[in-house]
Amino acid sequence: MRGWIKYFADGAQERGLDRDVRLKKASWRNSRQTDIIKVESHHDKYMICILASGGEYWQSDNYISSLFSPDTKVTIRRIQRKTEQQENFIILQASAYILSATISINQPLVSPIPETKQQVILLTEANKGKWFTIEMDLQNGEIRSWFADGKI
Amino acid sequence: MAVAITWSATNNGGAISQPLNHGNVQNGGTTTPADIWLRHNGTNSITSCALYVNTYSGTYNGGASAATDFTELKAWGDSAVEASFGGVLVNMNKSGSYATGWAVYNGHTVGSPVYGFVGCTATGSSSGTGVTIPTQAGIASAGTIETAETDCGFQIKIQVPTAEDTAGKRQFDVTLSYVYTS
Repeated sequence: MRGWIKYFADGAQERGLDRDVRLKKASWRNSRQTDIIKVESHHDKYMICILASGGEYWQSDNYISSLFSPDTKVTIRRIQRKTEQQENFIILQASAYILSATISINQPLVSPIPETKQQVILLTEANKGKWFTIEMDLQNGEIRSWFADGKI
Repeated sequence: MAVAITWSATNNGGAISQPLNHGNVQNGGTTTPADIWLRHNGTNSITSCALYVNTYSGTYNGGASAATDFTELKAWGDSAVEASFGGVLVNMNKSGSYATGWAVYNGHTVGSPVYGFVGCTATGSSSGTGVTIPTQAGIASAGTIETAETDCGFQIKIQVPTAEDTAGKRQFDVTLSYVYTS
């Protein structure tokens, strides 16, 4: 699978598969933005994911197109969520192919993902209100997380 | 692909027939600048648009290899010796009629002319060193090509070093990197 999935508090889902985005049948901006509880982005065996109750999420991808090979190619897939003042913890679960982040007020009990390592990030005043960003770099296989000042 | 990019030789023209031939040039000379225009079919703007010189991505039919040619072209741009300086020069100062924007040898600080670049190790030769497309290329906001915008244009030329001693064909690519949200 290649593309993103939004999960909502009422159990609904919305998908933005690459082929549907290409055909303009799916859109991140024009799909539902309220009550999101989880967003996943998939690229074959790779998956990144942010779980947080509500708040503002964003998704973007990096692409390249060359003069000789103008067909675009995705190089980075990315999910972001703006951290909120009352949130204090991010639990990261990471493996070579998966990075899952759970953002919460209290340290949550996360469902363990097999073969992942867990890391706890304490949110401070310095990074509250920033955009917690996770991305998979498809050119070198790196999956990473960081705090951005805004949407990318 | 979420967004289709069109590389054309005229504003809103047809896609460039591949590969783009820059012609022949002797030592110390430069090719005639080639006009390139970029547009896309996305519903929304593409952002963080940057250009860089890249390894040729087609079927190579030069005298060495695509990787060797790319390494050589970067070395020309890196050269600290004027006689060895050259490479792939990109000028994005369309609104200034390309009067400035061409990289020139200036004692090993090449690579950062205003509104242009030469592909070299530090600048314009990888996704990490891509050069943001400025408004001078004909776009309203630096790095952003709006939906249906057709005015984004730039020029490319090749400068062969005076001291080059190997004749033959060189092949390279130019790549646009960008960010898109559907």
